[in-house]
Amino acid sequence: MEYLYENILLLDWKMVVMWAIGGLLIYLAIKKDMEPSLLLPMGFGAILVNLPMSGAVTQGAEEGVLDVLYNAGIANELFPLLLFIGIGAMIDFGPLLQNPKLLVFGGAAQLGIFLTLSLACLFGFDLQDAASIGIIGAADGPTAIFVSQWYGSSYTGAIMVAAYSYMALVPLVQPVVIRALTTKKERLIRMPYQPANVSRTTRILFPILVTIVAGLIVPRSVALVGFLMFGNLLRECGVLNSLSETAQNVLANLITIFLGITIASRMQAEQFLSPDTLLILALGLLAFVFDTAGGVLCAKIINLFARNKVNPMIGACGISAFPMSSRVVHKMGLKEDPQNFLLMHAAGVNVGGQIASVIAGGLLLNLIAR
Amino acid sequence: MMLNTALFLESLAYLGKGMLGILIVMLLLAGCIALLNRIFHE
Repeated sequence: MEYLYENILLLDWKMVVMWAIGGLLIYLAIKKDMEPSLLLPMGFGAILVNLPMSGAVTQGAEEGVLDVLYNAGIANELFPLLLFIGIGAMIDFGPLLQNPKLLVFGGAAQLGIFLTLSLACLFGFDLQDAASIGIIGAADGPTAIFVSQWYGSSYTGAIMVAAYSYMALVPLVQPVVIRALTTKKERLIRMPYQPANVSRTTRILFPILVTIVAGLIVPRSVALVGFLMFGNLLRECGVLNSLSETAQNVLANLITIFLGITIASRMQAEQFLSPDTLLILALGLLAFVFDTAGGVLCAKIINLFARNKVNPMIGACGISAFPMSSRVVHKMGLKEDPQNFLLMHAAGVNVGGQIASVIAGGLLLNLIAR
Repeated sequence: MMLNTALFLESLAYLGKGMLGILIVMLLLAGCIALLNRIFHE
């Protein structure tokens, strides 16, 4: 009868803790609707890889399926790039094209990436791991995976849990920071929306232009920006609707299924349960706080000089985390003044933040050698 | 836990370069979009 219980004897408490963490992720995904498409596969995967002698991960000479998937799609950065085609096809850059100045807030809200990188260095991480932790501040899962894989960080599991959890927590994190940095008077600033037509030619040329400009200045961002913009070109060209729909739905969903569960292969107890993981989770939260602060403070600085004042709350949307961040700010605006509709401005900043976070990721790769 | 102040100070250069770089790229893109809008307005 030994064959029935010999594996059970290999169970240790760390594995049980990981089951609890996996269970928590599944709970948050189902009950709290927190990024369910990623947290649920990651939660289930965390249980899958923390069973004694789990056949899902490599054991000695026997290669596990999750490691096969990891090597095929994440170690070579393929999955995040393919997902970007879907994301690019989903995004309507119209609000940004109507008011391109909003891109500045997207840039300012990347402060969290670089400030967190410095803090991670202070806490003893080497430069490459610090860059991988800082990229949590991109508030963009595929970029975080891409950068942490580029640097071969051993903290990918913790970085992904932090990135996706805090993205889901944007409605809790951002309002606190925004209120702390703005006065009631500033939050009441109205921003009239004047819809302007953006020509089809502009919409088609935009993704090509972004790819060329970003590629010329930040060559390492070309893969990230290029795939995102390729997806957007599929959407805007008007002659590939079926490909655009496939990218938005089938491709994005397929990759998302594999991405979550494959990331979990880096959530094995020995790697995941360490003080470093807690530190990464804390630094990830700070990254989101600094991002929000960067966008809001940028708007406040612009208001010192601008004739038409900007509601500083919209600066916070530069965090990327599309479209949650713009919804949060829109709701905050309505709460302060039921006649203040910030949604279109916030959405413009938000999609600008998406572009900025991807370019900031490429900038990191250019600045810090692996 | 040991604090690595030397690396922290070194990393501040990346903070400066990174923020400056991203803001310049964003301003450049904003200018290009404004130009596109002006040329191809409907």
